[in-house]
Amino acid sequence: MNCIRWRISILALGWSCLFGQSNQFVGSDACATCHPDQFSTWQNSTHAKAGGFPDEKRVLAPFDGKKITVKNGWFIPYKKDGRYFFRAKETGFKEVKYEVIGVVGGGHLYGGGTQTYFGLFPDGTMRLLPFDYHPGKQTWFFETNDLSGWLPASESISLRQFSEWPPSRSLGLLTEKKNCQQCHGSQLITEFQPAKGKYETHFTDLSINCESCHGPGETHVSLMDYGENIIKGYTGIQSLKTNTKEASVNVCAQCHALKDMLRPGYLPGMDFESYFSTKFAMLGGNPYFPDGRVRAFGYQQNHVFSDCYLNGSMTCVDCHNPHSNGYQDVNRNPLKGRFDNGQCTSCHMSKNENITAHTFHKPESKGSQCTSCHMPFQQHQAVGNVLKFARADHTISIPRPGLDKQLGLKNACQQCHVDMSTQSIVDQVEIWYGDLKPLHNLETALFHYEKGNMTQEGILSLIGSNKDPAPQVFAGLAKAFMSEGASNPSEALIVKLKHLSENKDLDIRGVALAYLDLLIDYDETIGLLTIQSLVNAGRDQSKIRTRWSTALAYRAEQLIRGGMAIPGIHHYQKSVKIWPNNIRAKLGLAEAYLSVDDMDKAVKTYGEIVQSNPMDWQGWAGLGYAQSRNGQRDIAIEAYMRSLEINTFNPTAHLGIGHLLFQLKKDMLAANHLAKAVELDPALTEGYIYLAGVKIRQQQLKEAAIILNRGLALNPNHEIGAIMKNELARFIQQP
Amino acid sequence: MKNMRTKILIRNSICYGFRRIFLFFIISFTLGQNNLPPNELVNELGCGNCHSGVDQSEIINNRAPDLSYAGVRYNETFLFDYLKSSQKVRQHIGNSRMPDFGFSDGEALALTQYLMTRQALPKNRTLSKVKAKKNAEGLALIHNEFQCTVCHTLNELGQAKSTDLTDAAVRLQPDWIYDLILKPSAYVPRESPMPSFFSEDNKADKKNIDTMIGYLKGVAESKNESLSSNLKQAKKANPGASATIGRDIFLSQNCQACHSMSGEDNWFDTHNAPNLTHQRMKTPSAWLTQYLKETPPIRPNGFFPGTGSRMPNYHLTDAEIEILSNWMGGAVSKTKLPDIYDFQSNKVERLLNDFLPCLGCHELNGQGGKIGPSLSNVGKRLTDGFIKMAIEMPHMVMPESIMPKTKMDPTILPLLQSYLAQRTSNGNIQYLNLLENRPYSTKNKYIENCAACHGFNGSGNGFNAKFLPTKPGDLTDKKLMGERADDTLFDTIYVGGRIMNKSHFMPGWGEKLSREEIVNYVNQIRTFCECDPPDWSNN
Repeated sequence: MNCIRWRISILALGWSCLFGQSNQFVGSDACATCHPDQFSTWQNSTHAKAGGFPDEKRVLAPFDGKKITVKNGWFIPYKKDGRYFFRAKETGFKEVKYEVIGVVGGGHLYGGGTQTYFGLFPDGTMRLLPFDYHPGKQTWFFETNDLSGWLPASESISLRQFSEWPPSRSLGLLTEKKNCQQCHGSQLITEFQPAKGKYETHFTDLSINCESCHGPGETHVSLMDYGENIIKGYTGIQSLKTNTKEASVNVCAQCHALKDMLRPGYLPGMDFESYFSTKFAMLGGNPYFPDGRVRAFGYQQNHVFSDCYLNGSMTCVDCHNPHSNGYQDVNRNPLKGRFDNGQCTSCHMSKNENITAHTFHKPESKGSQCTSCHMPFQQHQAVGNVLKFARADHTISIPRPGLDKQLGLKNACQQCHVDMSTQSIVDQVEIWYGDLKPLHNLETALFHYEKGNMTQEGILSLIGSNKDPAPQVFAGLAKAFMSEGASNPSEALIVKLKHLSENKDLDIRGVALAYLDLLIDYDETIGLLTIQSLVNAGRDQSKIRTRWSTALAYRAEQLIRGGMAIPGIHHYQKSVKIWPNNIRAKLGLAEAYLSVDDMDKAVKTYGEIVQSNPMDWQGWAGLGYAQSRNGQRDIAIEAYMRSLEINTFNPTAHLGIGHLLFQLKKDMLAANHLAKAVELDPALTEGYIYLAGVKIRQQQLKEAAIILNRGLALNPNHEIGAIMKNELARFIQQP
Repeated sequence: MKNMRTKILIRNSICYGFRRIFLFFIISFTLGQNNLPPNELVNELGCGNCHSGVDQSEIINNRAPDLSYAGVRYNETFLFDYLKSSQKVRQHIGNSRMPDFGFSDGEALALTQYLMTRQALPKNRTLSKVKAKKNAEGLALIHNEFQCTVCHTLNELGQAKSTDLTDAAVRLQPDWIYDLILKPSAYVPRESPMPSFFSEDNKADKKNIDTMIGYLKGVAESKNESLSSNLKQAKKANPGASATIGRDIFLSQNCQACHSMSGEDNWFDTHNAPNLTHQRMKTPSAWLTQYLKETPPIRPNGFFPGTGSRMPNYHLTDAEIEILSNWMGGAVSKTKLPDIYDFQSNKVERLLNDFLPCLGCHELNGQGGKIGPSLSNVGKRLTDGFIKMAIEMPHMVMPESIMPKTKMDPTILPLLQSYLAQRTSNGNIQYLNLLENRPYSTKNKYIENCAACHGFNGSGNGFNAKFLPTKPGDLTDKKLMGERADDTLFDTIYVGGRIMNKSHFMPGWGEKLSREEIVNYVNQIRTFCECDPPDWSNN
């Protein structure tokens, strides 16, 4: 009975999308009647099996009730009445229990697939649970928060190393929280509902359904129900066969890309570029090597760096059948599998007749498979080397073993010839192929820059022209823009940037304008040019503004991280000026004011945030914090309360109020709020510390010690916590 | 009068072979009837002299004038006028006729200028300068004395069994008329009944001929003035027309299929028009009937693209059309392509505009190339079965066409076929002007397949280039071609422009050409650009 009730509630959660924001989506079953072939093909695809509700068939991990011990605790995956659960306990903390309500992944991926689990939390979010499963290795594993990558469960790994302990990353795209974006489901939207005071997570499926690629089907279904005869050329849905190269790749890039959200609210069928940039990640963590290959962790969208894409027509569907997720050639004829040379030779017919003449390997050998050399599986370094998570190189690179050595990559030849030294491979490649095709000059410049050529000349060489390929131009531009020397002007640099500000690519235009914005004081013509550029952008103006502003915010964040708060504030101010609704920049600016103790401006900035969106609970909490630090305790409490009125599950507001009440010596009330804060966010160190303080004042010393230890377990270096611990130890020793 | 004429006729008949003349009239009479055997009509029209799949005409070469000496035979003014709108001149050649090629003023002028350069008279013939004065006495000589009007008409006298002498001096130069009358056997076919009354050394005969020519000149005077004025205007309006271009036009239209022309090669080894064997499967009978009546342009610039050849209009009678139509037969193709909906048509149009190579060669709704036939009316012009096969196996059903088979998404193929079957617009297809698009022989393989877009020397300025949204690749660009590996060029030719991020209007030739042929094209490109592939591509 419980099981049925639970399933109904989950289905209701899914179906609610039909009547909510995403009510234009009808689900895959609606497609089956008219498109049975595509539907049945899709049903067997990895997309269709990508996720769903937990059941015997879907769950790969052993939920067998066996306790798995880790360094400072344990967890037990178990099953009861057809439902799946985890019990877990960290030493010194209360035992917790999570129910699995969503499963993502089926271990499908050749280079190492995984399965992850999601639970539903009181604030309405669906969060990634800490315990993942690797079917290849048949082991539980964890993503670590200390750059150790993915590690199998063992007694040598602490729960504190789990990046999802306690669970905090939500399913769905949110500006205010860590999240998994929208890709582990279909039409997935997580949004805060002020009327309910909590989040709601909507989705049609936890698999990837028809409308994930084709967009909303409601109009299409309605029109077709009228009868095909009256439909004059409009079906209410766009055929993806007629997509341009760029649009086709963007369909897949909705998920198979490192992408930066520019504004929330995206659903399939909308204008992707209005909501996301797939290049802006290059402003941040430098995810790619200069030739586009994955440096740390990435997806397949780096295919846009490939010669096949830049100087060819190659899109994802030229090899991947989007319905079956099988393989096909450029003419859509099915192929045997992922290593079938037909993927390449249906275009590269020159290599088809005598493959050995090109590969120097026997025709049927692995060495004569195009993918062996041009799309070798590379372990993504952010994952580490313990668990297999290798992905085919979608830049379709030319094997350059010498270069790979410099980059610390295992070269393609060594994937088979494990005993050969790099030098002998380099020599053999030289004998067989002579000179290798040179890298693009922008890639070469980026290599030199990363190897230390960080001079002004080096920066200048990173800036390409509008004739160069967009990914390479952006990579160089991003590196230059984020460099320390970015603000150093030169005439040549300004000329190049002005040129790039007319690039067709919106990302390049946005960053070029942001870069010019940095140099605006050095050239009086820049101001006019940037205004004119926006005027000329027409319908794209909004997209350019968001990119321009976001780029400046990126740089501001980097400056502040590097201890340069004042320049960072200056960048944030520019960012907000060009796009006043850039909440990321506004919050960053407010926090930056806090960091330099400019409380008046912090209060003012938070005030502007909540003025522009009175339902911004995060803004209200920030305002409360700024006012509190500004000595305006009374109104600070009001701001915190307003935040809680909007979002009852806001741990920050509870913490703020608790802290203020603690200062006001209203210990009972303070204790309630602080307890609620750590309940909602068990990783809230300050919450434990203040709560311990309250307990000390209430003479509940043992309880205070337990709570304090929890806080210090989270942050052993907490200064006040450490002092309190010493004091408390003295008190406890003195009866 | 009647008895007199009969006596002369009998006398002439005895002199020049009564039996032969009688047979000639019997044949002419028979061929003029509607129940003419189809093969006879086809033979008389000379269909097989351009089309394959039909026997070459046995008689057309005898009936069409030898143009080797056109420059001394015809008046320039007449040739210009006649080439623009030919009319039947000789009534004794049955159903044979000079068809109308639809030449523009410039084209006709260039061709005229070329023909005027052709002055190779038959062996042992030279022309004397005739100084015939306009007179009235010539009529009596022509009509009464020499009874020319027994076969010819003149001023509404006589019988239309040969040419009309009323405009003889419009058509023909006096010097040549003189030689013709003096020595008909040098110019007319052996079986012609034209008698030879005159002796070359007889002064009286010379005077009589001069008188007759003088009369004919007088009759033609006003018409000649009018034609002369037309020619003058045309020359003024078409300064680019020249005998050199005229020669190309002459060769492009395969004129030698019917006419003799000494000293010229033929652009076409055997034929320059479609094989009519498959016509039964290829075209619906309703369309064929209409086509034979009006002969609208189908291939804008020649059966072999670039040659500029045209299907001329024979101005067939309804009876002739019926005979020919029955001869070729109605469509018996049983294939019926399913109808598609408008939204499917929209999809196909987007694919045609952005992905498929078809419109690089074919026009559709006013857009596209001028290499192949228009697609705007293809559903009316071709049977469903032929449309299907032409896309799936062009080399089987159109072995002479340069059209390569295009590999495509199997789900697109049936949509494209049905879409084309539904294209039934009347269209407004025009031939390309041969002055602006100088025709050329396509005997060279590169020229046959590539020059239409890439031009003779590879510079990308072929006649079709101006109809394409993207300029065809300049194969002479040393820098650009020097950056491309031979394999890249091979792949592009094999699979088409789209895979190289170039124009999708460049089709892939891999399904038509052998690998060796493609390698030859790569080498041809290296010749054009005078460049080597990049060093890194050497292996």
